[in-house]
Amino acid sequence: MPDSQSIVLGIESSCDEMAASVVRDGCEIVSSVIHGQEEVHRPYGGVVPELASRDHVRAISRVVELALERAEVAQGDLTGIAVTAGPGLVGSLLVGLSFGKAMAYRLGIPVVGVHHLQGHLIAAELSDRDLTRPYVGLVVSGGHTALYRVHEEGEPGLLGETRDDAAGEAFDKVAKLLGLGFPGGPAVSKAALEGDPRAVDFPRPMAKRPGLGFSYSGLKTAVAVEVEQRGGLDALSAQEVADLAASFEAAATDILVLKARRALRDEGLAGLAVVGGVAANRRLRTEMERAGKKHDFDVVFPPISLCTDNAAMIAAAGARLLAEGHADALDLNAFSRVPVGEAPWRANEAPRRVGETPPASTSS
Amino acid sequence: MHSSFVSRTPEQTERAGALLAAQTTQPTVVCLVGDLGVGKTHFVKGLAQGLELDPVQVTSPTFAIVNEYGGETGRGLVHMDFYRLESESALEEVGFLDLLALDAILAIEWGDRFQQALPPDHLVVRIARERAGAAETSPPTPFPATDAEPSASTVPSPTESKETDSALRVFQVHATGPASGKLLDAWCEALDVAGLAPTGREN
Repeated sequence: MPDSQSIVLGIESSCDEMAASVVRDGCEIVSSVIHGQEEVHRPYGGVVPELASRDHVRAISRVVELALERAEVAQGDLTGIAVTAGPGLVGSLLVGLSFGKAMAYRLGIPVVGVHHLQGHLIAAELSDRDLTRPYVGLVVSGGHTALYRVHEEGEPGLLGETRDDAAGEAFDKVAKLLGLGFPGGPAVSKAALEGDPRAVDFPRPMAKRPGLGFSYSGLKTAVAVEVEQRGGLDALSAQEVADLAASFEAAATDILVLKARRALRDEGLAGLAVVGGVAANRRLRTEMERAGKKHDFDVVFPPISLCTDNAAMIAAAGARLLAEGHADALDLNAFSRVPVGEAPWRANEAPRRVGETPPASTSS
Repeated sequence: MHSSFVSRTPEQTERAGALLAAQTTQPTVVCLVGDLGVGKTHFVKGLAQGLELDPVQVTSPTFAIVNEYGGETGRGLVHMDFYRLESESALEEVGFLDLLALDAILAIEWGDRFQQALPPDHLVVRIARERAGAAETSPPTPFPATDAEPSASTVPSPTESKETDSALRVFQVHATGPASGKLLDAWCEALDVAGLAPTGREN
């Protein structure tokens, strides 16, 4: 467990968001700031268009400053800095990484690189203290759709992931196909409320195949074909759009429930954490909880603020890593694609595979 | 220089990509154009295969914008997606100029969104789902079944046609310069040899 004296600054810049957060003792979120959603823009007199979503360089000092201010923590009080080292857009990652390393060097405190998805998994533990390891983690977002076994210690092991599109991406693209708004998740769900989820029997890709992989590309294509067969988007009535949205949402969430159940059964576990932006989907929550009641497993859904990209999860994951003795050197680098359970920036440590038990601690 | 051919299955789309990648002799930019769900990512899985990289690793780059594969030894694969980019200036933020300098096939989905940012000599691959009764240019003749899946590709089982979709994909390829023109020639020859004969060609 993280030691009880830690105050860790987390920095997350793996893709569109630039975020900073202060977490005390590895579990108490003292502040959490996300660029774009906060008044980071205020000093410029409102949102300035040139501050594009990925223009992290201009946002980072203000975001970090604001996180410290809100936490009422001085730089000198920090005991460590945690930064996302991958996976993500290297240009974006490097901004947070360089800033974090420089700050750690100046303050003489350790810096640790955190796997973005490990951060997402930790979010569940931050929101529910009753969630005990080992458990199955389902990360489902715009960029990722994967199942993990979260071990008692160390990095999670991958059980299965999407072979093409992520679930959140399918929601966004289907929203576009149906002429609904952006972001696609809430737009599809809203339209689906008025629709019949059994109107169209969309495929549940990979459902019949053994294993824990996902595929959302075929489902997206099936929606495109259905729209085309009905004469294109302009020919669809509002009811048809609602029915297609509801039927798609049913298919998309059914697969997640089915694969999560299969993972729990295969791993012999009874705890499930669902994290990432798509964890906000109401149908997914309802169906997963229903399955949990029926098949006797516990489901944890963190609050939305912890589901989408944020830095509190990075700080919490970093606090844990630091407590386990994993500080990184200042040549810590960013990686665009990194399997969970591996930390190529920590080159001296061998990656751990699914099912392996963590090495016995040598420290007394 | 133009050429066109038809793919019947996602497997054939991958095969076509593999054959293209295998013909490259230098860094190459491939601009991929086509609606949602036509098989752009499938085609890129094929490119990976042709470069002897693991196609299973290739997933949609829409969210991440850039995914890089291989390149430690031999030619790498950079898979990009312009779908989510707000403006041409955002290309700089994602390190586009650095990516252009790599020894890699740079495959860009929705690359036509910022075509002016692409190097002048590149390959444009347009993929379209064939609509019933709306064959555009040359009437597409499906290429013969490959020896890998002799019957499965021609007669999809009922469950399969529900899982994927049975519509043909029409590929229209266009080279914008001498290097891409040479590559297109080599690719057409390879498609021919492999029994995936191009249905139309013009210079």
